[in-house]
Amino acid sequence: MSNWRRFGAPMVVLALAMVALVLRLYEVQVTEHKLWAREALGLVRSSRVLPARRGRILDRSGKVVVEDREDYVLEFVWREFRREHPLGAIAQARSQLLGRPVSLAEADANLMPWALELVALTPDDLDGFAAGGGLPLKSVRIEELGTNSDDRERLARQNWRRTRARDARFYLQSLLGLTRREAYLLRKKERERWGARDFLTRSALVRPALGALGPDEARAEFLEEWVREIAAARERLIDLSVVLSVESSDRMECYDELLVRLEVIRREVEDAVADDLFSSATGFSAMRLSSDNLERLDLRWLGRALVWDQARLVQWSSDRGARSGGSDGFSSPGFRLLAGRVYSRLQVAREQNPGRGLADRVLDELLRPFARVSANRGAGGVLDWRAVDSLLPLDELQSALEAPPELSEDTQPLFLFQTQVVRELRLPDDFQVRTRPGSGRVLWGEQEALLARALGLDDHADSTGRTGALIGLASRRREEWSPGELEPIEVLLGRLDRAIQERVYGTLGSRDTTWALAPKRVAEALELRDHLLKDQSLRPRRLLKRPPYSLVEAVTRFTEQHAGFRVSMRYERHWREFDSGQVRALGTDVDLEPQPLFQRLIGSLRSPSMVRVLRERDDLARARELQAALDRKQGDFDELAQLYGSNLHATQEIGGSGIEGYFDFELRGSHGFQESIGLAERAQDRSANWSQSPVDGEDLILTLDVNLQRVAQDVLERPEFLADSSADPDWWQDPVGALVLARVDGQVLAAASVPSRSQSEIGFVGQDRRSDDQRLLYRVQRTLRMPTFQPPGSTIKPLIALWAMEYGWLDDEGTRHLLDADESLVTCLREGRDQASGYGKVRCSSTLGHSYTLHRQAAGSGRIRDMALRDALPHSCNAFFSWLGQHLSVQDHRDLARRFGLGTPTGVRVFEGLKEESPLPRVGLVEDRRPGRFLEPLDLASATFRQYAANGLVCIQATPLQMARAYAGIATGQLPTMAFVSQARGVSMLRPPTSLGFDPQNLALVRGLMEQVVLRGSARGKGLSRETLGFRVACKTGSADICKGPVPDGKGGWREGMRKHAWVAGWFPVQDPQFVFVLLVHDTSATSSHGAVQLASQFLQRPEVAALIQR
Amino acid sequence: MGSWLQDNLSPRRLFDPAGVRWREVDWHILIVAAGIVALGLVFQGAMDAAEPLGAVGGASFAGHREKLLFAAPLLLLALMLRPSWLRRNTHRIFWLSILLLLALHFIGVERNNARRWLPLPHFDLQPSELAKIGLVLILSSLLSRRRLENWGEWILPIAVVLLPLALVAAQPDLGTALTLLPIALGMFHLAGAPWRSLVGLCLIAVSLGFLGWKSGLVQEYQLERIHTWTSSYEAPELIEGRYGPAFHAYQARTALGNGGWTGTGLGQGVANGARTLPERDSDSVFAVMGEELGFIGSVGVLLLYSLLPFLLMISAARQRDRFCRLVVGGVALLFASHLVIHVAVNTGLVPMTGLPLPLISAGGSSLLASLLALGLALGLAAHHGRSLDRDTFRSY
Repeated sequence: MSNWRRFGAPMVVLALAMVALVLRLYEVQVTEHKLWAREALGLVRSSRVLPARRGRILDRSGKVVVEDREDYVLEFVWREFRREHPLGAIAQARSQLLGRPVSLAEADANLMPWALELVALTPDDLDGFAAGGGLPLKSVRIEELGTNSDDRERLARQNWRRTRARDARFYLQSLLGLTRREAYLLRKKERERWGARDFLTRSALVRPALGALGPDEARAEFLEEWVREIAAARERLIDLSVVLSVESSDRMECYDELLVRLEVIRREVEDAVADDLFSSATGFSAMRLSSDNLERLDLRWLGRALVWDQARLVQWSSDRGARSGGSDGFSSPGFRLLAGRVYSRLQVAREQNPGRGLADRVLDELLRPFARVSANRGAGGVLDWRAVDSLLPLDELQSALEAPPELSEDTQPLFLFQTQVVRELRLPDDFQVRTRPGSGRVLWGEQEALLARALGLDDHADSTGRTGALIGLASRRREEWSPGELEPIEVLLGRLDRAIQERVYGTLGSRDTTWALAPKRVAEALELRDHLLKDQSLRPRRLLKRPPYSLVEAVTRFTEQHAGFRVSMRYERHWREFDSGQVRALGTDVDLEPQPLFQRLIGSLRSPSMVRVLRERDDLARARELQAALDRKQGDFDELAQLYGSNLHATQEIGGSGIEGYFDFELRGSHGFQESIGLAERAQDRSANWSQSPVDGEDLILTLDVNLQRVAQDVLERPEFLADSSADPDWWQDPVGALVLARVDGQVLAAASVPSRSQSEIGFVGQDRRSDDQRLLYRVQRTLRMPTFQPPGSTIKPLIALWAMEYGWLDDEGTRHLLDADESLVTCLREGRDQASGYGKVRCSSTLGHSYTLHRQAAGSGRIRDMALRDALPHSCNAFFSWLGQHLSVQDHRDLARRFGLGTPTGVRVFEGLKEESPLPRVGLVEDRRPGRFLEPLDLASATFRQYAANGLVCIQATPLQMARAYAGIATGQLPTMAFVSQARGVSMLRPPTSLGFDPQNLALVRGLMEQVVLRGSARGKGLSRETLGFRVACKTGSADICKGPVPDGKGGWREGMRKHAWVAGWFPVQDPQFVFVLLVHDTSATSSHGAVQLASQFLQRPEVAALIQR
Repeated sequence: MGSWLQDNLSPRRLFDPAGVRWREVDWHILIVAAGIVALGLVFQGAMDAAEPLGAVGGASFAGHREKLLFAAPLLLLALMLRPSWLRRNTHRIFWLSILLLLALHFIGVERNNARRWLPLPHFDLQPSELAKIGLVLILSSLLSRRRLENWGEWILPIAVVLLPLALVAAQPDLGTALTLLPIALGMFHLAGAPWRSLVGLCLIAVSLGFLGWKSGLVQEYQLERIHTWTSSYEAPELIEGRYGPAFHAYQARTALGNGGWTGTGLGQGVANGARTLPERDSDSVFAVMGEELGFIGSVGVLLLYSLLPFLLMISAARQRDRFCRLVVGGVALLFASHLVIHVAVNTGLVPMTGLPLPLISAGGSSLLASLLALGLALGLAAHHGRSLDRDTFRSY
């Protein structure tokens, strides 16, 4: 027993070790169980969002205009195709054996020969190949590995061979189309040294149905069936291609087209995997290095991981590193994306960290792309530019290289922000870069100068201006960015990046050979290869929206015959109401596909903006946390449902513009959510362990009327040409304008705008236009927007008249103070002056003066001085209103505009009264209110400008919808709130009008005078009479010069003159105003009386409008 | 040469079935070992079943069974090995293992930046596994004649430890190299080395390790592994670094922790389901077992497995032959050190290193070496031919 003394100690040590291990196991398996179980669950728990059906949009009579319908989408999954379809398996197996990418087209061209070659291989062939031996295929001989390379390279190639042999074996087995049992038997027999039989024979022998046959017979039987299956699979793919093709009806052309599309998807998948692998090995994205610098790296390992040859690798690296920069840097899509991200973060940073100064926020976000992800955090986890001291990709590259080069002798930091002096700056909140007006010279403060140097801007005044612009941008809250707004960000990022690239190149370019990455980091990255390949290639790519039902049925019912293709269901927005499809362009009627009615007004869906995604990041993080939680209570499920229901997902479409955008919260509903637990490979039979049903969006009822809208659009699209020598044939051939019809209570019945189609769609591209590029702006809804300077002209005169009467400038007869008027006005009124009629600088549209005839008549009766409002308004006397405007004060002009709602929102975006307000700012339905020059006090200080203002010229602008509201105000004495939507979530969106507060007598006088416009004034005899329409109309015409241009000379030729906007605004029926209309003709040489009025008549004559009165 | 082979390697010289006292064979040890092997087969089968259709290169029950069928007879042959032959040829066996380690540098296969395998027709041999047996035998031989009572007696035993240790570490395979240390230290202790000498030896080893680190002999990846271990020992840090260098440790800990008290059930674990745990059929096999058997099952496996070295030590303690005692004790230490290090790695008690769990993990070399070692231990303990050296009657 004496030996026990020596053995006792090791046994005690072992026992103690066991106790320690048991304790540790207890800690991990029992104490930390919940934590690890949650992590484990994350590896196998899957979830999906059940989309809600978006609400319908209906017109005022209940006709569905837009709705969500269940639509099928044909998708392609590369992983399934390459593993289960013969073509994919052959291309992949061949790629593995040759060590280069073999395209699907190449594989298809040699489908059967290559397939036969593959299955004629034996396990020993592949083992030999794996060990570095050659492989004598019929079509090509694969040489054995050479020995002339260095050790590491040789070993790398040997390992590559082994991996390729393994993968080739997998695809070869896939190609044989074995069942699970057969595959198991094949593997088993492979180990049993089944002679030198090839895979085909082996497969035949493991097939139960052929078990009774001898090897040769079984092989022949198997081969016959197998060849038939491969041919059938190819035929099915060709059939599919015919359905998918949009360009050709030839079967083989369709097939070629499909193969190209599939190849593109395959490349995208592989590129994405390469991106991920590169990032894993280096710590930064490949897009962060220029092509020059990427070429300095030895990326053969990457090529081997993806079985790429040198050409494919070069293609990837040149694509990733491509920069087409001028002196200001970069314009690659990747960099544009980066700039967009910075811009979006600027918006979110402002909301999430309002206490941080503007300049600090801008610098934080500018430097974020260059800082390590996990480092440089200040208080509260905010990235602090003052703490940034290690830069991507330079520092990461230093640690990622196997033999990092010495940094160059230049010890200066890349950016001065890395110096203590700059870091200690206290930036004022109102930091901005100022330039001296005119010279563009920068006026530096001390802080600004240091910062500008830090950003490398001290010698570039231009860029400094951009910095100022950037900071200016950051100070505004914007939902979207435009390419122009991104420019300063791109430029600044480009400068910072270029400094880094130069430093990297200066460091890496110091020798001729390429730099190898650290083997360990490469090995670690390669460990992720299979996972990344699986992840990327499992993501479905859309091939076809709304495939035919036969295809849906084939793919869903015979899944195994369509490997790689799947059909998914999703909601798609469908338009039910369309316009006629006929438009007039250059005087010719063109038949086009009918396009959705109200398209620009209702708007469209789009992916969520990055700003929105960033804003919801915290909510989504919370949702993920709840999703991963092990033990969840009902409250957690409720919160999860709420978060997933209300939050957006990157792939989900939201309302992007128009009514769809503005009422997105009401329309989009609440998504459902389904969670499953199951292992990925066994997902076929997984069942939901928790689900929340989606709640569909609410319907929206418009004030708009489908029939009236169609009529309005049609009148604008195809106006009937006028036989009027003063008309502008140009406009009638290619109309641009807008038409609003609304109830006097503000409900808009029709809001048409032309052009509504692009010039290329119409088919007249590059024609010589006489006017500006407004004709190209077919996306603009002109009832709401002012894409160019848009003065209302004489349609403002009733407003001026009413104001003047209300505040004592005119008596009941409208003559007060007239005798005291300026002599020049009296002269104009009394005599008229050829070519010089007008008052001050305001010319009359009539060369003889509006009142010439009237005054001549008056002169005969000795009542010259009786010229008054009753004549001036119907005849639209510019001189009279100039005189009136001159005598109104600045404040009068501004108050008048405000009272009638000019320069203020019309109400179509008003949103109140709903129980639950949208958590996000509302977007879409963009309306111009007061763009550009609008009754600026400095302008109105001049008498001339007040004259202009009273004639609706030069310094005042309005949208048709604003004019419609103002005219509804005159017609009823109450200013309505305009509306496109009458009901949302069952709540009325209509708002009560506000009283204008004018004396009813004055109102009655002006209304009466406006009917006189039709009876004896500027609209007389133009088709607006009761005899023509069947009802009485009151209106006012208006024309406003917008630019110089050619106008008809009355002799069939052209002369230089003024092009203008022509308006008509009015209401009907006169005795009981119910409806208001406004027509805008953009860019015409003719006054309203020679175009716009007739066009309004064409609209009002339509039976659908007459039916309004009858109703 | 021919006569030497005939004299030394003829079956009659090598094996002595008649000399085995079959009734004195430690059948209980064999039964425990068989239980462990059976456990390994069950889990290898479950892992194989979790492989997707047509998968190549994953866990393979058939492959494991094949290797087992190949290695099991070697246990029997080792059991019948003539002790006198073994005693005479320990140095040859040791040098053969050293030669194989050296051969790695010329014909070895490199995988994952390490050159540890010799390509053979049906499987790749890992000479470091055989070197462990070689080390146990040579140390037993040397220490059977030395009591380590003076420093002069230490020189040769330390030299034979350092030689394979250096060669294995140079592959590089620091994990395997470090398993040699507890075996050697344990055998020094069994041979009678005083405690203070062992403590001094440990201090010297630690100092040398420190010097190696400072002088750059320890490779960067090994240092980073230690750094990863220290920086991700706690669960939150490990989860934070799960997509970086701590990927393997994270996956192992996740699987193990997911087991809870009673486990997920055979083949139902995340390790088998998601198959993201690297080397789950070899270096991480305990994580898989821990997940599917739970804490109770894991402790059961630990108890069952630790029975093997305990029983071997009891068996060794009963031996009156010093050489036999040391060999059996050395084999016990071999199993014990593997068990402790393997489980400690998977539970995160020590830095991540690739070490199989003998008799359970897939891997031909490990299985072969383990069964050989077990056969030697059982055979020596049950053989007639004992030498009556001066130690037989010595009291420690």
